[in-house]
Amino acid sequence: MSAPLVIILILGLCYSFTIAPDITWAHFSADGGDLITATATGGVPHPSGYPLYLILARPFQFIPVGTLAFRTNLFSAVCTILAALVLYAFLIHHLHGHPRTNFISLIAALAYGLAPFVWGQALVTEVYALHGLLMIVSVYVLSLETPRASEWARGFVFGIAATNHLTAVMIFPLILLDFHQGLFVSARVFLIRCIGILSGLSLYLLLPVRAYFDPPVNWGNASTADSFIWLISGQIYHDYVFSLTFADVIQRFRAFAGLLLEQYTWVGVLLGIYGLFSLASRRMLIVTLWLGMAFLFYAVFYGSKDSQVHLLPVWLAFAIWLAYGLQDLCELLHDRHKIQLSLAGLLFAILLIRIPFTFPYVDVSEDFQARDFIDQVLEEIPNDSLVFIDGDEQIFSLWYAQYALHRRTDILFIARGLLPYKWYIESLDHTYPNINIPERDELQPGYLIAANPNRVVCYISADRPLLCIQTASQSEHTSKEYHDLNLICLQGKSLPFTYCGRLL
Amino acid sequence: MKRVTRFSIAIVLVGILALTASGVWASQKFKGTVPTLPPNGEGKCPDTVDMGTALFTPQDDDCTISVEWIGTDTGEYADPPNGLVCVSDAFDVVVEPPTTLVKVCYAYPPELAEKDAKIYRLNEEANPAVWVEVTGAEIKDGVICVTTTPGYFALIGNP
Repeated sequence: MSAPLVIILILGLCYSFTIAPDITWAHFSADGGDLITATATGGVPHPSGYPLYLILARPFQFIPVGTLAFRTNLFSAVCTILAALVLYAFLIHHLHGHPRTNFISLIAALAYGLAPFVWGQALVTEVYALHGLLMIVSVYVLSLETPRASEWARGFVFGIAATNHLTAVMIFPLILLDFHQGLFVSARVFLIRCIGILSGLSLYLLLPVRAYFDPPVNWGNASTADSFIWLISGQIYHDYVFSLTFADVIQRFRAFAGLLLEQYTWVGVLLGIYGLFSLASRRMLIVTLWLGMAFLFYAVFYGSKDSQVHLLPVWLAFAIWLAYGLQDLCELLHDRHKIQLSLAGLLFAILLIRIPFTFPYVDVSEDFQARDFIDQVLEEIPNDSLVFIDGDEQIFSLWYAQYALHRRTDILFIARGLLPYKWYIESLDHTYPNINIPERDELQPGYLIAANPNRVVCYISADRPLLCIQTASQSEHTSKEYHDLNLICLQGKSLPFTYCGRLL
Repeated sequence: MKRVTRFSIAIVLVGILALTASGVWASQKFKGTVPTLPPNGEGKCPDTVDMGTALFTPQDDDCTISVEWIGTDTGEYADPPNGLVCVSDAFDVVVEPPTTLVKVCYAYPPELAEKDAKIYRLNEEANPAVWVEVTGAEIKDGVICVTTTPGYFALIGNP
């Protein structure tokens, strides 16, 4: 059986038994609801807008099987299998002529695809599976021996990678590298590659087009130059970078050590580090070190709660080092074919033996937490309610339920944290024609409640039970609590203002 | 570099990784995709500052007010009186001029009434500082209110 077929078979089987059947919050996929909904409704998800993801994931949503979320999850699985295949091809290309190249490349590709973190990302809706694929494609295309005419294409792939995830700009400096003659490319080639990058980046222009049609998910409303820049530059998250304390940074480096051992086991890590020091090609050393270090430092210093997702290219670089480590060992044993085969067989066996141990850790095939949350909330909320929501998981799940699946369209869902943004108010105005939005410089929940009397007011948050209280006469309202959902609803006839009190 | 040297370095580094490895990825709780509203509020009198769990209304027309959410654990400033605990959010209220009175209203659902919760103000002049109940509280329509001078406020009641 050919090695690519083995990769497809093993990863395909593992992923198909563990993939999430519906929307999920597992494996850092709280944003999944936002991405699914934006893809399905012609919308624009959170910054930087991910136009490439929107285009490529959409065809999967038409596959006539399972839920809309499941079909979008499938796209991640396919991207991860493709990434493993490209990694295999990349290693075959660069290890060509060495003993056991085929087997070494197969083991490294499977090690990547079966690493718990990579496996987890293959099962949920997020942009990181595609990000991993684009990173290995970029590095592969950069290193291919092709005619000069394709220099534009090399740049284009780098540019297009950044239209899926903005952090891909961190590998842009690699286009300075020449894989075939001198260490650096000439000014002319560099210029052509830069034009290629700009051509790829032009896909971002899709976002203003989508924004023009006022979709329900329309982050930034990128119809003006300023709002477009705000969106694609991820301005809303700029203060996340370098926002950690020194102690947090140390803690993250320690956690990285744990995660690395978790991905590849101590045998794999030993081989990977050995491979890093065994890299004979200076260019390969620069490319893989740059890829690994840039994303490691970004993940460590980026202050979001789920920043470890940015480590995925690090795991990719490590799989390449692992292959080089194995290759060096095979060269050492060049005249001992039986020992070579035994070593390769042992590593392959370790990979297979690990599967049942990783399986329960990554398995989300029975994960219905998000779906149950949606079902319960939509069943409990009274008709025509005004519902304020806090928390990524809660907001995006309910967007998915209402905007993508068209359930309970009578409810007005308000993401409280987005109220200070003008584009969000405009989006609410288009999405809910019946809502009254008072003209205020700073729109607070109280003003919205006052402008929309006779609606039940609800509040949903992730952290702790919350109670809504109004200061009007008690006789004018009744309240109902749903402690298991952290949901409290309050019925009011005339609400001068309402505020919420948390129950500890 | 010789193979033995490379392999030795790799073994040492794996050892260091194994010894320093930790399972916790330090994270800042509130930094997700959707931004959270800042825990501070400010306004020009007589506007009310709405902090979600409490409202602060200056009793004058010519002043400025700023309110900072300081958490739910008042122990950093002073422990609650014996046997009592902080049952809601605590705030630092600053009004300019500082002699301006402020009406402080906390959400007061039945659960908090059952805990006999009352509004306390931090007496910073005492050494050490102590939480002192603000007398004259008015409880009506699910809200407990007092009018007093600016300072640190907390809702404290039975556990």
